Amino acid sequence: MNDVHYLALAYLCGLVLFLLYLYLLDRYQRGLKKEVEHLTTLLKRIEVNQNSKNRESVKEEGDDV
Amino acid sequence: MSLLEENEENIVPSSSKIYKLIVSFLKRIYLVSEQHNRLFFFIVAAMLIGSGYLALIFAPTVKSESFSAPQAQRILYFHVPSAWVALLAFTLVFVASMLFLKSGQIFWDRIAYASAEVGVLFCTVAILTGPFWAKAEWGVYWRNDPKLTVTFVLWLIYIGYLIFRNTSEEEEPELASILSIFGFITVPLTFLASRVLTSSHPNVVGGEGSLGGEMVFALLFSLAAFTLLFYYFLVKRYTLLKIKGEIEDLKTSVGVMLNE
Repeated sequence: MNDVHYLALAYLCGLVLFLLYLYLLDRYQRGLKKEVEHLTTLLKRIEVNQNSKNRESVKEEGDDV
Repeated sequence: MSLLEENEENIVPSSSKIYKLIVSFLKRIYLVSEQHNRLFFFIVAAMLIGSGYLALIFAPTVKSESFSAPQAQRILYFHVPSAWVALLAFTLVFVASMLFLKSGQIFWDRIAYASAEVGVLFCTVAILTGPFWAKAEWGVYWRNDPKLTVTFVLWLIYIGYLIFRNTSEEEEPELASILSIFGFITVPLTFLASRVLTSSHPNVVGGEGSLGGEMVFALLFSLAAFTLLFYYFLVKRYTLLKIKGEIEDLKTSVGVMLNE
């Protein structure tokens, strides 16, 4: 190998590492966003469930009275 | 909401006016880069392409009497900016860790963590590209040289810091900050190793071999491009750490709601 080959290899290595990091960051970001969406939906469902339970219990109390 | 906006009241100590000015300046820069994230990405990419052109085509080849592998010397335009950014990143880790220990604000801890990760990336690039030049110029990939050894130790210390951050079951940012503050000792050592001790590693800054005007321009342009790339990665990584924090908060909320 001559010095041009080493030059090409050095640039290639650096470039691959930067692109790999960028790709991993993007992938990680997508995963985190999905998790946020999932947890937000879950939280909303729990809230809706609890509200309907509360309403039912209030209704039952009203019926008892 | 921006990263500085949400923490501004907490991270700014009442006493220092200069500190407030610096934070407000950083806030403006951050806001611009966050609002125009895509544009910022294209600017960084264009600068990197430009630095590639300057390094590989524009900059003249060094005289063959001075170097046995004159073309491989162009690795300088990739290797030196990577090493510079790594040292800059580790200095930021040090400063952010100090500020975190002083103020207790998670903002600084996240900056330190993000900066350490990006710094390790750039340090890895510097450590990988250097041996290619060494093989072409010296005939060996690695020498038992003080500069190379100290840089390798520096890299290992921050790898250790990241492993500690990722594996500790209970998050211990205070301990991680102390670790990074001690680890910073190797940063000035890396810079001084080839100046104070006998080293075969060439010095670009304050060294004997002088670069021509076009070479200096290409090198400075590469330094600017790599510094921008570092900033781009830092903002991106910080944002992810912030989202992760939000997820932890959401999980706590879900846990509380389920227990009720």
